[in-house]
Amino acid sequence: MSYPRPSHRSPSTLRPLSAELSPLHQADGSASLKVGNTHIMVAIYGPVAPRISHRERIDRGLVSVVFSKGVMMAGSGGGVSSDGKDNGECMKPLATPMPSGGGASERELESFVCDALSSCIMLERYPRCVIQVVIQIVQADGSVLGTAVNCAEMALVDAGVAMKGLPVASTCVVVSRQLQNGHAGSIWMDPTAEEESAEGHTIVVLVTEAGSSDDEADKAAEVITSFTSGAPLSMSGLIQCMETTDKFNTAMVAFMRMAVEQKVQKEVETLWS
Amino acid sequence: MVTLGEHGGTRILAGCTLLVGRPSASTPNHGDFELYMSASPLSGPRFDLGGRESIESTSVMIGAAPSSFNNVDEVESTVQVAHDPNENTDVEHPPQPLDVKVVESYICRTLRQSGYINPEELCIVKGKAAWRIRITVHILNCEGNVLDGSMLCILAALRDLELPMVEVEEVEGTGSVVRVVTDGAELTRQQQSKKKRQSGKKLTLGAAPISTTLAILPQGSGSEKKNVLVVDPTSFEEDMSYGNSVTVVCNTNGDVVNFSKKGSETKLSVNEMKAVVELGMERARKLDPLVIGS
Repeated sequence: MSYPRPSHRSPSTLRPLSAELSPLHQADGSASLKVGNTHIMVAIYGPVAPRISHRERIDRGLVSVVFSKGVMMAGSGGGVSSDGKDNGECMKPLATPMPSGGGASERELESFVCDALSSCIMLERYPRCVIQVVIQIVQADGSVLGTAVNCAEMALVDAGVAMKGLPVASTCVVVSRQLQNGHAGSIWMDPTAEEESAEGHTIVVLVTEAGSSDDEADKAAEVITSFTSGAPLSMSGLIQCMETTDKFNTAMVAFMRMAVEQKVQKEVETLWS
Repeated sequence: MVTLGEHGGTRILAGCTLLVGRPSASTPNHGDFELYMSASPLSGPRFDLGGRESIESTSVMIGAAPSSFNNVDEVESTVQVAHDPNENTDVEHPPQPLDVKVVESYICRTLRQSGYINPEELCIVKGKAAWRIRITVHILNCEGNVLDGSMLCILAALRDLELPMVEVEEVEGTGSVVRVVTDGAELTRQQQSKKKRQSGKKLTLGAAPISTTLAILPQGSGSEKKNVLVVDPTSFEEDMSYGNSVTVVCNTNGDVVNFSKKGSETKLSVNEMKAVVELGMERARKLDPLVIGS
């Protein structure tokens, strides 16, 4: 690997994952997910009656998302490159670090998460109800939006909400064009805040699920919702991001399964002994 | 300056105002811009005074719905499902209301990412004073595809904008206060109307980010599920897509400035993504001369 990542990982290595289900006891379901230094906590309340009655739909439920950006950020986006020497090959971080969520307002982020979650919940089972999802950023160090979606899904599983699938949000950074020339592997998966903020890089968050065709070989991932921020990128960069989502998906789904199994086992030991 | 973007029914009004502010400490030679989008009952019958669109559940359209719930029949039979899942016309589906604040945040973010405005051009005195462009957009008539219309309108408005010539005066006493005296501010009204205002400086703008929005209409069910994508959707087409759309913002340099797929009912395959981006590139090439020319 001729071009070093600031976080010293290979382009397709994810950061260590750790999760806890039901950390909050008052909520109907909750989950806490740590991806490296990024720590997100999600609480689910629902299905409940909507506060504004004209918002309710008579045939299906609604997902209402509240996204809360925290104040604490791990690491600093402004600073020298991590190996200390600036030999021109290392990227130049922006003077101001990119805010988590790529400069989007909380409303836009809420709309993104709402779309992602609405696609996997069986909303037709909850007519006239609202499933409220409250997302809190405890610590932000890159990949905040993607981690929030994944954490919300785990919280939904914890709450016992009927779901028809587990789409996974994968975040990757398309390395800026100048640095790409001559270096193999121009997509970095699961970026840290430093990697996201660097000049000329693009952050791409894709929520994907396997395609619905019956042909097994044709089950390529399809995008449910997407979010890009940062510098403009080329079409080939965008398509390449799609290809990296498969690996991310399998790793994330396996991890979610493990987390739920652990919780169930713990419950069996403590509650039903 | 005022610009109207006529869009097959959708009419958007955009204007730019200039304010002077202090640049932030980390970027002493950068100016900034902010965007405000608003709607009102003027925009359409579904809008309320706060500019929010609301869809009453009583005004639901019956008989037109996607059957995206293709595995409902595999659910245990104890669940009483009110409709036969094999028919795709039974589920009532109110359309997704337009959230102006989401569009506002999206456009503001995209403008920043695209490098259309060079923030260094907006500097007056490094570290002390810089221009802040306040772009206000109002939806005069909402008949679909507000995003594309607003984007074009803002690009044209920015191209029309002139930064006035200014003089900077240091005020004694509180050393850090800077007073900006604009050209012609001291003249009486009569003199002003006679004297031709000294032309200000137009912004040197980068490649225009042109957005292309397509509504995704879900069709068919089960294994024959296909998406129909329609470019530049009208209000009716947007309602039928239940909030599913894909927007790609491209410029003439061949960059994808932003790619955003919204909506929860449909999925986009890689081939569809490629087709959408290519369409976006072509549209950017076609519309760029329009924006430059205005």
